[in-house]
Amino acid sequence: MRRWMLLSATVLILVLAAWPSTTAAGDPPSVHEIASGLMCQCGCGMTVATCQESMPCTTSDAMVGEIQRQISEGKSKQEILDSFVAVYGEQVLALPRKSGFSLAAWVTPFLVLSAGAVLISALVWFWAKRGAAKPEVAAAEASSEEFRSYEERVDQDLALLE
Amino acid sequence: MADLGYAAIITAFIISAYCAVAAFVAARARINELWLSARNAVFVTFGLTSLASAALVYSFFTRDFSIAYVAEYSSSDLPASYTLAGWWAGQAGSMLFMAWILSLLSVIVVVQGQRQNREMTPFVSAVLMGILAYFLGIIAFASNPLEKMPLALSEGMGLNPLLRTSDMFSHPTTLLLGFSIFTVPFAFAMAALISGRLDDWWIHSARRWTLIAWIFLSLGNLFGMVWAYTVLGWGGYWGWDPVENAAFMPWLAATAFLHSVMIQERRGMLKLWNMVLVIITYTLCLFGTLLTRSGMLSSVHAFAMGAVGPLLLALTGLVLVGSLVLLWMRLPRLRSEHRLDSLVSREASFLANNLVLLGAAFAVFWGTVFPILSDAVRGVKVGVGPPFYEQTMAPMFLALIVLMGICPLIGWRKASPENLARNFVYPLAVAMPLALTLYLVGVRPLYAVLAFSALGFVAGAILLEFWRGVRARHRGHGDSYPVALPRLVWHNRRRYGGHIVHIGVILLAMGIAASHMFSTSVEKTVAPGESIEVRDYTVTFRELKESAGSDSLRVTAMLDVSRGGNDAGTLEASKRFEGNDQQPVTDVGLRSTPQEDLYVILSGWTDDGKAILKVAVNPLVMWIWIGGGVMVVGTLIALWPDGRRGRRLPVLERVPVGGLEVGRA
Repeated sequence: MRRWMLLSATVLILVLAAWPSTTAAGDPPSVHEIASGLMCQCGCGMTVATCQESMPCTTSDAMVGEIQRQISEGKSKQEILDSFVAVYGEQVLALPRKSGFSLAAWVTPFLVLSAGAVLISALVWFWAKRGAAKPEVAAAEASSEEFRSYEERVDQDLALLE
Repeated sequence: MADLGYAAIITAFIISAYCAVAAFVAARARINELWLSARNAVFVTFGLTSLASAALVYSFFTRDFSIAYVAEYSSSDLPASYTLAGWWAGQAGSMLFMAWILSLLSVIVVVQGQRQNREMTPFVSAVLMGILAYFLGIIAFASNPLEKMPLALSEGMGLNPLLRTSDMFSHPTTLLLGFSIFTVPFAFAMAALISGRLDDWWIHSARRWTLIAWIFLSLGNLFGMVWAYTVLGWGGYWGWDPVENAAFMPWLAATAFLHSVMIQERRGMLKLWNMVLVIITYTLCLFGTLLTRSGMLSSVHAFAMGAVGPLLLALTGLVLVGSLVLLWMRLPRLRSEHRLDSLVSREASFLANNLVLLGAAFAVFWGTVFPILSDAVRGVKVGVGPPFYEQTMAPMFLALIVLMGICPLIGWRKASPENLARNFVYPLAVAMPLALTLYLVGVRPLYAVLAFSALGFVAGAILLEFWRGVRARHRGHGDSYPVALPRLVWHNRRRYGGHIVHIGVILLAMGIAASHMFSTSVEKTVAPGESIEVRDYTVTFRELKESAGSDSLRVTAMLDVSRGGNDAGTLEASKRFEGNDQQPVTDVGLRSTPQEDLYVILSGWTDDGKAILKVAVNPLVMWIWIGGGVMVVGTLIALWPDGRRGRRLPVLERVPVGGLEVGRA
């Protein structure tokens, strides 16, 4: 069971890690790209990019100005993001970091999902095995279910209702 | 009028609390007279909450600025059409709105209870009125919308400019209705647990009420998406805001319930699981109400922080712990009548569907609360924005789409290889060539090919269901094919209504996937006469135009649009300043076709008359709205009462027991 859990979790984490991001690495940073990765600190709960597009505030104006300044200085995307983290803390990032405690934000949903999948599979397997111990009932029921054609089922439904 | 309204709130609080206790005692001790009294109290409570609501609305229309809530959400120049919206625009008013809906729902349940579930209606009413009493207590003592100020203001502060739109009548009202209606299936589930009558009686009512709540919550979310996309200029339709998440989580849990309830109805299984799902759904509704009103998280939707937060937190905890304790006590009586026979069965595929739906709900919940958790553990509030949700939810939604196609194809109990081969071959015959075609025509990245071929697979599966049903009617009843289709749907509303909902989901998912993966945008500062080119569109900035209203200023970028060199009309994108508010409201320029949307936002302007424009081409967005509409139509078809089926149900025989008239099958 534990091996299955580990395997499922590993596969899911790998899928997650391999999930392509929207921007190819190496692209020169744009204001929008960086503003999409930063949360506006005015309390609106939106990214700086979204705040600017919908109902710009002085905070997001200032943040965009700072992004533009740093891009003009030739800084990379990561350097600019780091500079904002230095000012506002990690809460300014729109994405939790994939290290330390913040890794839990990424991994936990998939671990929970994997654990649920393993649990359900194990339960169904257990029930099916126990059901197989009573072949006289299961076989009779299953055969009647298995070999009934789809058209017959629809016909029966319709006949019942009309 | 305000005093009368407040007196009505206080009286409604007392009477609803009495009703909750009286209905419970009447049901347990079978005292008919007490139940009649409690039943009358339900009607009186509805009358009183209506009176309080009328007093608030009257105060808005008479501009009674001695009432703090009225002064905060209206002003003398506020158009009458938006004045009514003040009722639910703020925290205290929206709580009264929810209480009024809840009291109306209680009346409907009691009236319906005279015809069905007679003996259980007192239990259901007790739960409903208990929850209503709690809400009315909050309104009366912590969040009174009719509270007077020591000195009346000469003028109100007015409604937030962002809320001055017709969407204010559709989005918040449907969401609040959805949240409130979920109280009813929860009340039925609790009535079953409290009374110990754990057969299927509650499932039928709970399913019907859940469908109704689900429609409203779906509509609420869809209206919110339209609002965000067309008015607010979020650049998209979903911002993964904590309060948006709060409305999405119960929707996911309720969707899981609506699927798993079929297994209980059909095979007497998952009784415990269905109870758990109803409890989770309602707890998430309360959690959503709490998120909006507690100030726990930053959100564009959030109301001001106040005493309401801890009270709602207490209610959420009370509901969760209380219902789980009840569940624990009744555990031995919630055993399934059958067991799952195989992993390859419709029951197992429904369980997988439930798992992914709840997994998605958990992922959203986790992302929403992670900043609080991180703050508590590390003292650092981590930001969790839209990119997090997009990356975590994408694989889950893909799995859900695939399961949506697989579930109807697998037989009940245990699917045979013949069953699988027969049912999978046609959907795969749609999906595989589609995937190949998409790949060959250059669609990239590969997960886009995967997503669209999965949608093709589901579409193939649903079309197969329709085709087989129509053919069966044609052969069995001699109906011509065009006649057979509507008759098939009408005579099997629940089944084919569900398939129509799935068609809506396919269209919606297609729009979301395409607009998310293939959207193109350019942001540029342009002088008059200069153009921005995006795909085959050319957007030429003509001029900036200022127009002043009585209390507003609008700056509009006038744009000429051409497509492939041909004239495609004009567009206007603007920013609006209302009253003294320095924060502008965005009105996007939108040219929408089934193929794609041309979407223009005026981000700003310079002193020398240049405009900063964001121009985007978003493919297939219109199909999101069409898909949403199809989902609602399908749900209505599935929900439509079936008179003939009703007549076949066992008729309850009225038998007086211990003074309380009860029904017996």
